[in-house]
Amino acid sequence: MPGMRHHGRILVQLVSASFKQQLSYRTSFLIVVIAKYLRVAIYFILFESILVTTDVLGGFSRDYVLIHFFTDFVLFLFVSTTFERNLVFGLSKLVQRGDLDGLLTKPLNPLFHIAFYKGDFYDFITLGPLFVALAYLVFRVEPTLEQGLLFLGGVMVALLFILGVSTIFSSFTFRTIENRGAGRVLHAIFRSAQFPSTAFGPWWGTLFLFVIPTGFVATLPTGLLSGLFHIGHLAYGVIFTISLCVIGIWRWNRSLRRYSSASS
Amino acid sequence: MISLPQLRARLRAYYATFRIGLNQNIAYRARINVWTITHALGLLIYALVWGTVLGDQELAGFTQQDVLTYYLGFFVLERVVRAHGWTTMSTDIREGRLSFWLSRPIHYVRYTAMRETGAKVVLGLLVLPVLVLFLGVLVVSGTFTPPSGALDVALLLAFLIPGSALAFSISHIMGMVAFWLEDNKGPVSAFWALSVIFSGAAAPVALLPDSLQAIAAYLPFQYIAAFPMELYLGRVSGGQIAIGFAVAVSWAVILHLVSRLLWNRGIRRYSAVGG
Repeated sequence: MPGMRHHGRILVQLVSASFKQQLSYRTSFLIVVIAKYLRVAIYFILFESILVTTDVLGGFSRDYVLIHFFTDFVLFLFVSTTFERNLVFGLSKLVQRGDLDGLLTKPLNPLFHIAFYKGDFYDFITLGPLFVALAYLVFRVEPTLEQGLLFLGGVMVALLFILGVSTIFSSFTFRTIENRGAGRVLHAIFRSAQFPSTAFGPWWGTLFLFVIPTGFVATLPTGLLSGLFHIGHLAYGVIFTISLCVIGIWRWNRSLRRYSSASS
Repeated sequence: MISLPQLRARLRAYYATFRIGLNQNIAYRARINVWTITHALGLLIYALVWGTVLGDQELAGFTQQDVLTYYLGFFVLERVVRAHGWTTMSTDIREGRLSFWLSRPIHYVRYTAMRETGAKVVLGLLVLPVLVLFLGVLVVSGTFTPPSGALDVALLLAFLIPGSALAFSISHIMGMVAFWLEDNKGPVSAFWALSVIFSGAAAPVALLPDSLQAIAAYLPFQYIAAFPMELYLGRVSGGQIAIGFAVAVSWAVILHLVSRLLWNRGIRRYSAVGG
């Protein structure tokens, strides 16, 4: 199997092809990007409405609520630009159309190819300014080096968590063929990550932080940055996500071995 | 002027279309279940956040109990009233399948409306278990606000009429954008983004900043589900109910006229190859 450099070159070509395809409808591209910013602005207004009623949301002060907000958006835009949407929704379409067979004949890691075969540049374009805003907000709270490193560690846990969940989810596509509905349910569950898990109250907060830990996405990094969480929480996150990724890759390989083509 | 036999023929055609929508959605009810679960989860999250934020305090007349009841009712109303025909319409326009319907003796827009009405019957039935479950949880936990009288419930149900008309027209307008744009993802995304705030989904309209409340009052979104729920909670007075109803009906008429205008203009520029 070709090495990292080869996969890197292929990734650049896949990215370029996706970008050209989406830019071919320029008017629509522009409107979609505007709509994405509009969505961010509207959720920002929602958080402002909440912060009018309370200075602290789930143990986070206003500054950290904003960091939480932007961390969630930046992470989800990043993963949807790259692998998440392809694994959760795209694989189902590939299997149904029979296009997956063609992808599997290529000299590339199948998981890599399927995860990156199409890039979403609407989200990529939206990502830039939000990333800058997040960086500004993080530096504004003047974190210590330790807090900064813990925040970055939390972000890595978040990315690995989403990767692990997406991989496990997509591994069922080989059997079910059509799982876009379940993908929508998954996205609905992930919507809980927009809000600090600690804001849902003790029971739901525990559920979203430790059991179905969508809180890993933004609450964990923000909590580590603010000092609300400590390294023990990060350790739990690391162990959980590594286990999830290992299970995900194992399931993926197993399902792929058992896959029989749906096309001619 | 249409004759009686022609009218009877049309009504038979619309009834047949209604049954098509009904039977299709009975056959593919798993899809509706998925959308219902997705929608319920989304609103549950908002309800939990607002319920926790409010706690024991009251804000703009909303207590925790009111917010939880609001979201339960909002979920049911929105599921029943909101229309989704725009996806099929935009695909039919883009892929040329609209040509098939243009040669049929039934108006395409009315066809989608009747088919969707049939779908809503199934949707309403499938929403019932979710309603009963969440209602039970709220009643047992003592966080349900019962209606203050039969009149409030009757008025809420009355709002379903302009609300449904609004939802249908908005859906058709979104679908018809495909006559002009190869990909209508952008306008639809922008529309739904606005709808999340101004429809009262993300937060009850009364909890939004004053400037947004003022804008929301003149937009049609809140009259689909948010305004009827505020009426149910007794937060709207007699005069305001009349004004709200008048605004909802006005918007329904305006959007219907816009839908007709877009259809007439769009059909003139529509072209399809093959099929």
